[in-house]
Amino acid sequence: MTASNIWRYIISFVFLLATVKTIAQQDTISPVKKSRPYAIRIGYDIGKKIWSGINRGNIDEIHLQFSRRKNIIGFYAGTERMPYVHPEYQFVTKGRYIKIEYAYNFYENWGDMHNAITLGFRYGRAFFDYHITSVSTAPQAFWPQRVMDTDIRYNNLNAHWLETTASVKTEIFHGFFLELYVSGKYFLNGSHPANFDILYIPGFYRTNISRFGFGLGYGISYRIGL
Amino acid sequence: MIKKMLVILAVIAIVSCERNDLCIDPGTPGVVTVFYNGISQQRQAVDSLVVLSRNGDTVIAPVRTDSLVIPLPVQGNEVKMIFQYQHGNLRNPDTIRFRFTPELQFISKACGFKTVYTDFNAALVPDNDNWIQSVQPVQTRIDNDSIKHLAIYY
Repeated sequence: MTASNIWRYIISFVFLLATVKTIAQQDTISPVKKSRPYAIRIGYDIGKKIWSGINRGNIDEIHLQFSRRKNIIGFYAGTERMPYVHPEYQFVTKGRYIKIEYAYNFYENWGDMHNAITLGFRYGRAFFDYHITSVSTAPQAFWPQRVMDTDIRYNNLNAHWLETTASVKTEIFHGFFLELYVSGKYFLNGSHPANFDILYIPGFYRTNISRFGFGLGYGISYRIGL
Repeated sequence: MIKKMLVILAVIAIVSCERNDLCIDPGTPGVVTVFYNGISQQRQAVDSLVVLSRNGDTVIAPVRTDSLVIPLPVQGNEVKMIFQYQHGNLRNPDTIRFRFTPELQFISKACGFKTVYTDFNAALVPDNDNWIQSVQPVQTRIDNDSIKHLAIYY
């Protein structure tokens, strides 16, 4: 991710926050209603959609959460198509992922409000293909470097990882919540493609030697109390 | 709370921005060539040798050595190079023909790919005044610079 892309991402995020703030301030103290213990929340990750679009790819991620009072079980499912551009090679990742989450809501709500500050643990698993479209290779001195279009494919790759995620959910209008989150990720294991490596995982982002990854983003969700 | 969070997120996002990995692994190998005395079969330095491409461009500048790493191109299957023995005004060019099949090999995330060579072969093109006696490929696969691939007897 280039610096300018990071700024575009953050700026779009700030705009979203500004809307939250104005809407959230319209809250008035309503008569205290007894909260129902169970809830279903269905959500969509806007941050990933915008970030992937800026980077000439596409990510759609939806999630479903079931909660009983402060305990939350979540399921996340996403599809991705993301290019990876390196000075020496380029490839496209296409794939799907799922994440299963347990989270706990630490926020004490008033009455019938359902804001949340949660800390959660997720297990993620992805299934994906790589298509290497360009490779550059340099000989030893004298001969020219060669940049060639390639059609190298690695199909049926998979990987899994762990995440810990902190998130804040604020109700922006009735039943709709805006969620901001940060997550730390730890790559567990994955396929070992012959003559290549796992460099990008849908739902995880780029891998690196330390095995750690980082994510931040925002999404919107709709909550139904049961 | 949200403001604080935003500042923290922005800072983390910028700090955690992917560092530029440095490529430190060796890239495409060359042909490790060792020169031997044709009679004694002992390693022996060539007094002054220059390696030229077919067009006469200098591949390796004049040098006194008993071993060389000869670069191969990363495309094509055959290349001819001129090994010119020099001594005073004496110039004796001999042509060696290299045949190979280049293959892409992944090195690492930072370095990308290098070329390795399979089906490597080298042969002396006879002329009426060869200073080289014989050319003997030792390996058919060239994937690193640390072992001998070619022996030249003169």
